[in-house]
Amino acid sequence: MSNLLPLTLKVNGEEKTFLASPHASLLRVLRDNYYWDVKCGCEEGDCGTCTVLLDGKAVKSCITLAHNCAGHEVWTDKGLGYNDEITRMIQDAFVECGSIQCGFCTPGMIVAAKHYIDHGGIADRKEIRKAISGNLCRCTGYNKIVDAIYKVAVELGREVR
Amino acid sequence: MKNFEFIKAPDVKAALALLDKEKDHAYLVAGSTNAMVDIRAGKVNDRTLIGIRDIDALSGIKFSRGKITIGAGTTISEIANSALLAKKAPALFQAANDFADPTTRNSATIGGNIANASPAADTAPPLLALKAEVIIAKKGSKRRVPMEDFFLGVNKTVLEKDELILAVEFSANPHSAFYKVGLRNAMAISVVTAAASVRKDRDGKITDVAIALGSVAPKPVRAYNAEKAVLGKKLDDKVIADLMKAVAKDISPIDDVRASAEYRKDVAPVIVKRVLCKSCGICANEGGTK
Amino acid sequence: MTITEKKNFRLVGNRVPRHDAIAKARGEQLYSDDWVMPNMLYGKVLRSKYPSAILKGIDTSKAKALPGVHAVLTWEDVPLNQEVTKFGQMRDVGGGFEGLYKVLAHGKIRSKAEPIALVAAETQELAEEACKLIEVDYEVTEGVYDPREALKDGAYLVSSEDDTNRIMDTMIRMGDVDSAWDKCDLIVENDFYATPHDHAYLETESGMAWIDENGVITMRVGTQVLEHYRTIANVMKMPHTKIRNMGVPMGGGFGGKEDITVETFLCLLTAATRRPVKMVWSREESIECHSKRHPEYLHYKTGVTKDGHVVAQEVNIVLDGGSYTYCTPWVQMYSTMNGAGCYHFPNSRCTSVSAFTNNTFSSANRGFGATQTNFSYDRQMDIIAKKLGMSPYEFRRMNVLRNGDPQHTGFVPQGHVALTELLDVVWEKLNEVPKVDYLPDGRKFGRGIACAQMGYGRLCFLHDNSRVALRLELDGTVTLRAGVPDLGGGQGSVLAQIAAEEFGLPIEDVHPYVMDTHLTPLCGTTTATRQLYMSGNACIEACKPLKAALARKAAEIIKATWWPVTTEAGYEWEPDIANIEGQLEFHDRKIYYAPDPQKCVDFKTVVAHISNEGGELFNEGQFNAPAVEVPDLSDIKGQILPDMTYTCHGVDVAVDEETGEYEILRLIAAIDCGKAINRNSCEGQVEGGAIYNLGWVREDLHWENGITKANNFSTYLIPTAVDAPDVETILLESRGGIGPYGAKGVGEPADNSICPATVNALSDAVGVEFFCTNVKPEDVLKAIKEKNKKNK
Repeated sequence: MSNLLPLTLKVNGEEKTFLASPHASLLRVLRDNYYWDVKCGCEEGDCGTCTVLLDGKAVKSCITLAHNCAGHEVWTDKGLGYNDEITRMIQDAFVECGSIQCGFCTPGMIVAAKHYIDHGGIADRKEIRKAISGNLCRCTGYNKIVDAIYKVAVELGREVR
Repeated sequence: MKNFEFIKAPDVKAALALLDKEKDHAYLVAGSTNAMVDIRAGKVNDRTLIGIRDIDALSGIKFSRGKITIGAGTTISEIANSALLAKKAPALFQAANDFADPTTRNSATIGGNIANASPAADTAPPLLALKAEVIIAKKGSKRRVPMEDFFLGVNKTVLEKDELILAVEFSANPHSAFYKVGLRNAMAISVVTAAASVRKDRDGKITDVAIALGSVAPKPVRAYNAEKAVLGKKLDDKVIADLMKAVAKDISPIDDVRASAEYRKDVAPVIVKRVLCKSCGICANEGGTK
Repeated sequence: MTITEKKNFRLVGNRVPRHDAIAKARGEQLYSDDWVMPNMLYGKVLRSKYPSAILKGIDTSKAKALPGVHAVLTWEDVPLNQEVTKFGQMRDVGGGFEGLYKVLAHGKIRSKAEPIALVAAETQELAEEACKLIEVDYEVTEGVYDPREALKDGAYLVSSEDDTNRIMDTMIRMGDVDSAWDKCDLIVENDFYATPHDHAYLETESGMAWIDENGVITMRVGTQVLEHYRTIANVMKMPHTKIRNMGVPMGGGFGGKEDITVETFLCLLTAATRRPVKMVWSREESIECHSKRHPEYLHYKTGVTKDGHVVAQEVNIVLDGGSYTYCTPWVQMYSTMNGAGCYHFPNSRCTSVSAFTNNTFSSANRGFGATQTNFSYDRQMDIIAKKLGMSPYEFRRMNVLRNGDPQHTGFVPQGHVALTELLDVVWEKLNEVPKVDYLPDGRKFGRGIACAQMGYGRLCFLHDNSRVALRLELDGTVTLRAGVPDLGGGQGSVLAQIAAEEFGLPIEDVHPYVMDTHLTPLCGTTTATRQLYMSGNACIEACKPLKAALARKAAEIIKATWWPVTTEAGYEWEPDIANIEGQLEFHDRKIYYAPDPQKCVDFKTVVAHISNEGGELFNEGQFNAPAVEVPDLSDIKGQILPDMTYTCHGVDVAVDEETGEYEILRLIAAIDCGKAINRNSCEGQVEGGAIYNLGWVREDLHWENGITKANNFSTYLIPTAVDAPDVETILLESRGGIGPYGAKGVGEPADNSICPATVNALSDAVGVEFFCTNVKPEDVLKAIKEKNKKNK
């Protein structure tokens, strides 16, 4: 069996050192250490439920080699919600717009939305749909998820004129 | 049982030294979007994973004297968002925008995409059509391999165990285009892809052309017969018909879970027509034949 | 028809945020895979290598010898390896409805999903390794993979317990079909095929179990059917009191978590090791091993007059039940019920038969047998309309069921039948965009419409019921307890909303505690689009006596506070208590005397008075659905389901005629929901349902002789955000349902007419009829090529 190696990451603002197999995914390291908001839906990069921010960019943690992230900064939906105003706005919009049904895709979806807004995302339904196209949702049909992200973009003055 | 080691390479020199040392055991990992899937499936085991995600020198898009150089570690996102490539290599730009999904594109790299050598690799047809060269290094030496010689078969390339892709390089060509047929609009492995690049003289005659296809053979292929059908000619209905007919000779598709060989044979000529027309600045009806 | 009395709503009908939404948004909701315990082991199932075989022997010695492995179990280790399947019903219906449930393989292996052995080990990786070390001796058999083949004489027998592959036969008839064909000017016959369909919820089956300090095997497993604890207890040969599931919200269910998933495996492993055990299925295991929507082969023969009146219809259905019975008989009832569709055929006959095959077992999937027939009858109606030269809208409108029309069993539903209104509103909305032949970009344009009916509430012969408990707290808030499994539809939250409406409290004052087999009153299954209807009504029942007590006490307080009143004439006026009580309104945390709202009292003050006097602050209410006897399956008559919900979908498509690729340009989804309780949730069901079965048109499991080739999310392709159009939702609110405030159930009906509407639109675009639910670009191109060949 593979040896466990120490891995230092900054997770949700805190510097942490974990022990992880050389081949462990970032998803496994996070979940093994109780970051339960990072969901596992397929473990092959095909569903997006495990999406986190790595150095400010949305990535799928299941297809991210954990040790490759040593020394880098990871944020999850839960950590962002308590530290970042934009994420909190997105979370509130999801609640208000009825964007959440089973909620299993929600944390990853919110991180993808956060990436979109952070990178200048505008209030355009087509663009929003593209931005979340790596995140599957089986419950909502996406309408109300798009509504929520659109609402945040409008609140930030990103209307398309 | 899964059995791995991990070593992070801080720079190219270190990566080459590690490759030299580990040889058969070495397994390079950049964006890891393919590697993690293969490790989970047990397709890869007993290896030393060499982490190259953090090597800055491998990343970036440069343009100088008509040549575009893209570092192997450049993410597909960077390509998909590059205003330079949108203008000077629209085929590659489009392929990057059709690649998987925006989140996967933030990790996946162009070097990883070609090194994995999937017949469906989305960046392969545009790089073939742009007649790119792959710049490869190993400890103590460098070499350049034309894209058309790079792929050997399914997941097979000319890369030696101790080699690392540094970059891909090609001449800018705004007259290039890409088209993907997939079963979904995102996160879809391609059913067929095509890319083309052309150069024309003042009369509109095609003086130089390269056409490439993905998912129609064990490796991404150049469509030499199709190219022959249009080289030195002006595009008209007859030439287009010849072109479409010629495509059949360039491909050998198979049935798989995504589509039948027959469908691929039907669609490949259509999308070759579309990318060629688009490269020539003719508005090929993307929606069909009205 | 009942139209429920109108009421001024303050909360019902609004877009109320669900009680659990904030936790889900902030990443704080825990699911079945988010629990660990000290000293916990990991469980793993070894599945069959072959879809069809005889199990000759299992050697577990090498697996057991692996350090870190604590249990390897086979059928011999299961206290009761064979039981009958139940789905939470309160009444044994036996007969063909309750098939064999086998925990671990023994005798014939019926599908590749068949569990052979269970392992518990220190790590997930060790458990996987141990599975590889189990040596299984298989005698591979040929198997049978098509139910039509399975029904033939001499077919391979799937089961070692039965002497036939036939599961059940059913028939419903009306009028006299055989003599009605003579009255028809046009008779159209077609064969349809509905493909298997995966639920593809994003959370795979998972959970954990442990033995508590009192010897109770306790689980944390998300399930649609908490009542499975009874079957699990039977399997463990333990009393029903000693198996508990502290249910967990599901990451989606759609019928796929209606059968037992990980529960028995976890209980067996935890009992064997005396340690907590966790089990999580991989995506591949999930797709390969949980139920599928029944593949159905349907033959339709339909006769009409030349002026477009439907006269007669004969339907023959063959259902692929797969490896075990599970929900097949129930699904078959729905298919048979809906066979003739939502049209007024004076003469109809629908016969159906189900069979075992060596495919993965078929069971519940959102739509439950209604979707397969709906696809077929509404394709059939489209084809006939074209042959008659009528518009698909006119032809349907002429023939759909209306209020007072009997269903094909002769039963006249009590609820409102909104099919004509729905057709009108969708057709009008579609035509806001003029129909064209080709789009400017060269793509061919197509337009389709379809309508459907589907029941809500369970089959009436199951004698379904539900119960909800309420407790008034001394600060004026309310605790609600209900054993309602929440699979994402907001099943728990809506009950809080109803209680808050009834008591005149803001939503945050009512907190629902849900889903614990032994601490919350059992609400029955979250299946059959029944929770709002059943538990919503139970919640209102629970409120009634508490409201009566509150009103009586409030009337006393109000009278004592505000009366007597001296009028200008010097006359002292005082109403009696009953008069005040009859005119009270509950809102804004107060109880008001409606004729003079100045006269009011705080809700919590009233609660305090009742408490001081030793009055009851707790009540459990029960609601019973209409109950009938099990019908004669060879001639089903009367009421089968409590009521029906009606839908209509309109779709515009653009087809690339050179590649077969197509895009859904518009999707209009209309439903008569009776009354929307939570508008966001109701729309969410309609939107989600539409995209769920829009996906069915493209999703393909690639079954090949019992093997699921598309067993992950890179091959089984559900719609992404860029494949789904914006759904234009239209909610009609007739108030004509039998749920709370006239509501109807929407969860499953929401995914009905979408599939035929989409395929009708594709047929309209390319001028070729499609007979399979699955129409991929490749199929479209093939159809176009064949048409062109014919036309040449």
